[in-house]
Amino acid sequence: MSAVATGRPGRPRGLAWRALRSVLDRWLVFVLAAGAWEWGTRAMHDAFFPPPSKIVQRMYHMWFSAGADRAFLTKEATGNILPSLGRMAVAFALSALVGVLLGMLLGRSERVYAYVDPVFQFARAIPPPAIVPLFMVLMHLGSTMQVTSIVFSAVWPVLINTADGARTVDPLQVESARVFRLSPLARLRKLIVPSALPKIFAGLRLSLSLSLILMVFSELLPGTRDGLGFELSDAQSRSDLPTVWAVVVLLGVLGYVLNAVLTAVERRALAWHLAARRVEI
Amino acid sequence: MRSLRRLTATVVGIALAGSSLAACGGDDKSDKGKGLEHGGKITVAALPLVDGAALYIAQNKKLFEAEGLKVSIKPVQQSIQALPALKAGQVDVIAGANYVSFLQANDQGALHLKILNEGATLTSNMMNVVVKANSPIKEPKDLEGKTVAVNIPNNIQSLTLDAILRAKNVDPTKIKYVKVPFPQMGQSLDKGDIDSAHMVEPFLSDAQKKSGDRVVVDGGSEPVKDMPISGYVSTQEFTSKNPKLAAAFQRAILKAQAIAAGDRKQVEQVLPGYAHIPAQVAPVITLPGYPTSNNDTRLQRVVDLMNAAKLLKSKPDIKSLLFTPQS
Repeated sequence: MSAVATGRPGRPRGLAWRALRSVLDRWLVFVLAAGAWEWGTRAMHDAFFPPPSKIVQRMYHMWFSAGADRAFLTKEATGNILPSLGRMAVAFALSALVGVLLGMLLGRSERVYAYVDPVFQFARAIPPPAIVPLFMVLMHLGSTMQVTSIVFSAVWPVLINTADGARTVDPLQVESARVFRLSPLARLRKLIVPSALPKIFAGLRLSLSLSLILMVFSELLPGTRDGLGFELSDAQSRSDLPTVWAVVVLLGVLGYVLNAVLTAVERRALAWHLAARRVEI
Repeated sequence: MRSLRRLTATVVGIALAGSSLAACGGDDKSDKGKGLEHGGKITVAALPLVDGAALYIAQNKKLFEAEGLKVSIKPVQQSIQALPALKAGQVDVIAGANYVSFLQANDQGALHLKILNEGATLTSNMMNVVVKANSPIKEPKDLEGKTVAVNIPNNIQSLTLDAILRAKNVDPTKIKYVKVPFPQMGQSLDKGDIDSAHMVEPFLSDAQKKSGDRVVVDGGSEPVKDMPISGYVSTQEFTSKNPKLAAAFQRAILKAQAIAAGDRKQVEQVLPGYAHIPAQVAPVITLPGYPTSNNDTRLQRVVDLMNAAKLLKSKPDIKSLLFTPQS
């Protein structure tokens, strides 16, 4: 707002100024919020709410203070952050694969979709903690159970969105494909997948954030020995609140970074898709 | 005796009426009853553990009433979960509070600890490491490189077990501790997901009698035999604001501890009610010790062990943490 007041309207500013503006716009709220957080927690002086500067310090010492030969990652970091990310990556990849494949199949058959939809809605609504006892009977403690519990929740958004996307292909395009006598495979590749892609990505984005949340949950399960969720509950039991907050902040940062990566991938995938459509038109 | 009890009841009644009237008038520390703060009202968060039996004995035997106390008990699953409530003043005392967790909380500045009463001490065979009957683990030394399930990692279980193993020339750093809640330990052991489990009663008796599991380490042996494990804790803020209330509570629990220590039948009677231990199981389980006094030398053992295991940053003065009423 102050920029509007100082700069004369209609006169383009330099590139540097515009870059600065975009950075400011993006980070101003964050910087202000972090400042208020620091000030508030310092004023409160409560062990339960350490100031962000102390949290960042703890994060640095705990995870990133090792030598360059270890890529600055301490033992604590490689022992907890990496296993967590590994679990999450495997579970997210499985969710995406199963979700997209099943979703494509189901979305193309109105009848099967109608049959299984209630079951999916039912299964989707079950919170994983509620079926931990079942997991414990069916599976061995450790990675199998952890990955399964993540996939169990993260698969639904991809599956249901993909099915939705595959169902709602423009009828005119379907007709055109028929006129051009496209083979089923070509139809899938050139028509159905591209037109479902925006919805698939919407589903993937939901699944990604769910995977991160459930990664923490999966590491609270019996049989856990490492991971960020384990570090979190361990720090809680020791009343080590700076560590609790360090894990919370790291989870937030991970959520932000992973979402940014997915958005970049989405932009590339959909840009191709949009460009292709533009050429066709 | 009876007339005395009736008198107490009347006094408590008046105190309650007074406090409820006072409550209408706003913030008022009613000093009726036995001259206790808050009209003798005290809120205790309690765990469903054998450790806290004295609390329920005191309630059943009206020992609290005799001190002019009106105790309301709120059940919790883990003592550390009640910590924020204790700090915020929603709860005044936590019964069955694990010393390791609370000494760490005090050490981290999360609260200013005051121990009102000792609750339980470690006895032989109340918390053991068990394996399946056909396990290749025959002696403590065989545990090296194997997994041992504990309820909460880096807490009282690994602290005491490490000390026992070290005394038996076993290297505790080679033990792989895995977090498995007590109720799920038996099942995980059956499936072979874990090599051994550090179980407490009543799960321990259950595993031995129903599944035929074998004990490899007595978790209550030297050098941690008779070590304090849990107690009745509060905060410095509470005890300095309510010294008479805290003292009355301490007296009532001390009497109940003596009953628990003297007659295990009294403990068995209260267990089905709050600890969900069936009445037929209660007589067969191994009980912890119920100390009948508050002893700083005894409590010092916990601090020393924790310091040796680097679970504490500083060396707390146990005398200042133990509540002693001003006479």
